[in-house]
Amino acid sequence: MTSELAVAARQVTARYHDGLVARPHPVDLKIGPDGIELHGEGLEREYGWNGTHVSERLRSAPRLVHFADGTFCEVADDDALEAQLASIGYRDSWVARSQRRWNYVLGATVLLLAAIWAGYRWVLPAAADFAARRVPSTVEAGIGARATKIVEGQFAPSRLTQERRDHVRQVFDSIAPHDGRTFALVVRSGGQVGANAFALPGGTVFVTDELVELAPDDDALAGVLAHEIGHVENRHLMRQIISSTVVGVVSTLIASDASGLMAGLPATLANLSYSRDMERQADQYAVDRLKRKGIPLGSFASLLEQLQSSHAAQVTGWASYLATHPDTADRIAAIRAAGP
Amino acid sequence: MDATDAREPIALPVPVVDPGLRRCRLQFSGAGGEYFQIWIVNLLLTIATLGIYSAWAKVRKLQYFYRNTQLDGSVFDYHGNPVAILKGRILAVLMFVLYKMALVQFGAFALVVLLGLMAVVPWLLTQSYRFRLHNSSYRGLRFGFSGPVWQAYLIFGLPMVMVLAPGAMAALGLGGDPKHPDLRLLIGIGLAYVALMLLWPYLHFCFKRWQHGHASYGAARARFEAPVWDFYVPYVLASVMMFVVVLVGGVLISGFSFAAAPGHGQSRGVGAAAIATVIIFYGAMLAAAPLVSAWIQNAVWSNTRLEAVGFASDVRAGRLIGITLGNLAMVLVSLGLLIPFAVMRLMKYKIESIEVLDADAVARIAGDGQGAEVGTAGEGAMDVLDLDFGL
Repeated sequence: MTSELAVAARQVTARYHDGLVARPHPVDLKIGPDGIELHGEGLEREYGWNGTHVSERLRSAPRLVHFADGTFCEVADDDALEAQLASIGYRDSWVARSQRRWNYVLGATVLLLAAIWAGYRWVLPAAADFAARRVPSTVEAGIGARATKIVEGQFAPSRLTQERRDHVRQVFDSIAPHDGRTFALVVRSGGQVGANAFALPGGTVFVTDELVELAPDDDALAGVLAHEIGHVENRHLMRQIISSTVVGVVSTLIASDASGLMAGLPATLANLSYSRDMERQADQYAVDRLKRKGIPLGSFASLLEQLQSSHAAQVTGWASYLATHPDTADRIAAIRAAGP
Repeated sequence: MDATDAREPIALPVPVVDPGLRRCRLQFSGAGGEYFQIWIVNLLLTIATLGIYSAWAKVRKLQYFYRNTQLDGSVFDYHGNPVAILKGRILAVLMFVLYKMALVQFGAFALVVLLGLMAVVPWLLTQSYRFRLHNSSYRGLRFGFSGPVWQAYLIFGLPMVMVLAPGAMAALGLGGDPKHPDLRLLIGIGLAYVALMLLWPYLHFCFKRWQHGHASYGAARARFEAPVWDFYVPYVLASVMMFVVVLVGGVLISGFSFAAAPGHGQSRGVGAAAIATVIIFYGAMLAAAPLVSAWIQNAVWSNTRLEAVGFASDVRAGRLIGITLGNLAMVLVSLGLLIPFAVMRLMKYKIESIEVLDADAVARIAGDGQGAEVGTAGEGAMDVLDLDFGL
């Protein structure tokens, strides 16, 4: 066809590099369906398309045409080259073409944000839960034993009487399930932490003197302890360890450009947002346990209320959860709604 | 305006260099908008393929950086093989997971993992730097790196021991009872960290000497002749400046707050002063890093030679601090979406600060006649371990 021949006859100027010395040779390129001809001073070459690779189009960088023998051409006049390539039906890869179009890029941005959000919200928690339930119990117990040793050292011994502590232990034993797991209770003076309770992997539950004293009766204490056992039974700590590892890897991959700057942030967010769902799950566990033992829920709910008000100024542990999350009132309402 | 200025031949007052030599400044034409397009498509495909595409994404990204870096009318090029990079990334993810597991698991397993990491990481870093340079080219000639691995063990060994030591000590049960810490142990750890701080500029010097002193381009070998105090001076000056800024700022602020809030408002004044002092402290820390980086880039490039070819670098510390702090604000406010713009801004300034003193001598350099197939394990591992070398 005449039009094709006319286009093919147009020449493109380029700088040819022979790979032997760092000096460019100015050449004219003639691009045809069978290959590329190079014409320059004392230099005539011809390369077939087989083994020839044309780099992607960039807005302000020259185009590079690599040949099978390791030599290449640098083409500054990209428009002329593109016209010639188009005439023989050559196109960039679909990735390169899409990333040049703003509507595709905008679509990609929206998809990306949606994927990150969905991954955060549903995929990661489900995957972490799946994995956490498959961690061998010996591994979990090993982690728990080390963690217990470290945490124990950070609190002073309990100031409660031996009788009182034995009584708390009785409440704990009555509410803990007998499912093969060995639960252990540690009572410690809260110090700066104040009224607090928390669980470690493997089944050790910590409770502070202050919380025991704040509890209006055994029913309330049983509720809080059952809530902590709920964290253990649902392997919440293992889930957090797993998901923070995953988030660490993913965010490092994503933010490798802005290294360090953003890396720590997503991990913190993950821990924060999971703890809400986890608290609700642990509440549900506590409600079920209390009901099965025939214990009314009212005292547990009012102890949560008391904790919320007594910790309004302090920000740690349970307290921080209660103080920073506006839905604590919802949680209390949910417990009250679950039964008397 | 900077871009057009930089494209003109630049005549700076040069005392040392032969005026007959043709000086040539590096130019960078990467733009935030275009890089954003590449970056976002890379991210989406990386997530859609559960990370596998990240190796191809890295090649796209580096080719964008390299092809937009121009010297004397020719651009750089990157030839990394995505499959090789993928292998490195898989290795690095495995190492990262093992490391995380070691941190929660303790015991003999943790000890084995930590010792294994210490043994492997310097070797990996050497491999990755070799891979990076052997896959970089300019005018059809490849760069190369022949830095000996044993030097990497010396350079990275001490900082790595310091980073991994807490985990290893816990694994061995050496931490002792947290309620009754062993005073001698604490003093020992403290002294070790002080020693690391004093040694840090020297280690940085050794690292750059290793990196630049064993690099090559075609058949030309690079030399690195910076004196070690070129590294101590920036660190010491930056520390002193940070100290002075925080001290003066703290004193002024507490003075103002006590004067402004006498009587019952005093506690609120003290609180505000404490917050302001913390802000000043972090501001000074944020400014100190680009300050050191500017001075060290200048020292490194003015003391690097590629056979007959010398280099010069004129990064201005104030400008670099401005760019870095501006970038930080931009990235935080946009929740990360403007990272590509921040990256381009910083790269443009740092790259265009470098000048080649004899462009005609570069054109006379010949190839070394070698292919460029190099061990692959390292590249990619470097990114996940967050140890990129930068410029």
